[in-house]
Amino acid sequence: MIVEDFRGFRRLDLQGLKGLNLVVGRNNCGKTSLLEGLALVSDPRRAPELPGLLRATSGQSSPRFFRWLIRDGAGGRTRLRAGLPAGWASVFLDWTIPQTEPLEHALGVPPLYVVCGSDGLRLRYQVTSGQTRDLASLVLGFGRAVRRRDGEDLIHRILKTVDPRIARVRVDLDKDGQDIMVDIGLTESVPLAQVGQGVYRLVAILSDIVGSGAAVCLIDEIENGLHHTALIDVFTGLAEAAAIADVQLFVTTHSHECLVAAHEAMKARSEYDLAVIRLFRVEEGVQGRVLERERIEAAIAGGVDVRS
Amino acid sequence: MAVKPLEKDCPRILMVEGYSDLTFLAEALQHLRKWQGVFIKHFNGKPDMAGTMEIYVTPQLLVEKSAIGAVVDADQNPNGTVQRFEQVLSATTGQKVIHGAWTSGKPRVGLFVVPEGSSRPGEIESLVWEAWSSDPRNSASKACVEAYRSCMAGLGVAPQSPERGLIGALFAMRADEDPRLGPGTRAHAFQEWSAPPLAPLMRFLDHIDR
Repeated sequence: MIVEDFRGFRRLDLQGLKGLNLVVGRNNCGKTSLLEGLALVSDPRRAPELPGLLRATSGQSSPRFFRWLIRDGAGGRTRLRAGLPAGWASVFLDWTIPQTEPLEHALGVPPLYVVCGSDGLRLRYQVTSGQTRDLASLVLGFGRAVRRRDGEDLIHRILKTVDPRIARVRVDLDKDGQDIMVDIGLTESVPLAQVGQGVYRLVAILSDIVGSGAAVCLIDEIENGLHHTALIDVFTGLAEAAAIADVQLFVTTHSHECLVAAHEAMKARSEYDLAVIRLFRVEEGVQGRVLERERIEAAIAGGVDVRS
Repeated sequence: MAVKPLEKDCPRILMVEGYSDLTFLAEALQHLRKWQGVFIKHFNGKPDMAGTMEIYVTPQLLVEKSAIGAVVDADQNPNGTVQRFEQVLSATTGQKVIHGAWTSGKPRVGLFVVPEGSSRPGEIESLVWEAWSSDPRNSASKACVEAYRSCMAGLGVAPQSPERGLIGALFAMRADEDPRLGPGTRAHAFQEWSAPPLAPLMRFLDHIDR
């Protein structure tokens, strides 16, 4: 993945990405921006959705949002490239109308043009943000996920590690519509939203991975609502879900426990498929480095906080 | 008791291998009155300290700090240790870093490989033993410790590092709680800070804020 002049990034060249990629760094160092860049390069046709994907905008698309996609002072053009098995996918953002390349969108006022590289490669992506999810899309994703036998088994197994009372999770229909109901041993099943934020988040995340049909899942602040003692099981589940559905995960976190848990979960698998993307904000813009297994182990053993 | 400083509050960073080194060098800095504003980062005795340092020294740290130094043991490979740490620190900081000195860049970057750079093997304990045993007032005690070492050696028991063994034996008698170099020094088992063998290291530490 190469990012040039996008938001706070002057040039970011991320080599050695894996199936599970944890994005870490201080506040305002570009973690969410990186996910937005991934979304944009995965499918430029969905560029108008960017404002509501990961930020608290209530889904409202403001022209001002697009004003800041190109790095301030960059001279008017952003370039994003992602290496895919089939080749390089590339997307440009430009304040001027492109002459040679296909135009995808004009966003905001004045218009910012989204230009797709001649490769035309697309990846389907799914976002699980920390914002409250609308019920209809959650039910749809969960329904798709549990339609797969291995998906249903996985979701139940992982949820049980977070709350052992959970016996069953299913879609339920009544006169008010559909909901996801959870059997926790009471006289009736309770709505998912009332079981707890951790379980709610996990259902959303696992449903997105297994049931969305996406090739890339972008998960913002995965630790929200999850107790640290559950994290190894959660990451074990994420890795299994990603393997079942053949999905690449990009996950932001502020939690050191998440990093350790992801490492432990990956160590226990036949293939260690974890990379950590560290982002730093320095004077020239945001910089980043990808840490692979050897460096992750050294950081954990040496007591180095890679989030700083 | 002094409050442990936070990394974010300290303009100067000193990287060391383990907790015992941390406490010893904290005492040395306190003796020099250079303790304020220095955060000593230890790497849990990690065997590959150079590799861990590469992760620790981030572009952000280079921007935020005025001085970043490392004190490391030569162990059995003084030449290789000096070369490896000079190379890693130079590559990570973009400055030419050499043993025994501080650079003049921003931040200032320093490296000290104990006991004496590439010239001989050993560790901080080697310097401390030399410093303590070179004081004529300690000659009787020195004979006792060496006699103990000889006696144990006669039984086939020898420490991996001779000086670390000597310091352990000495501090076991002088610091009840913990005979390791750092905790023992903190308990005042060692106070010969002005002894000539320690001078190059103390000079290096003294220059951390120049």
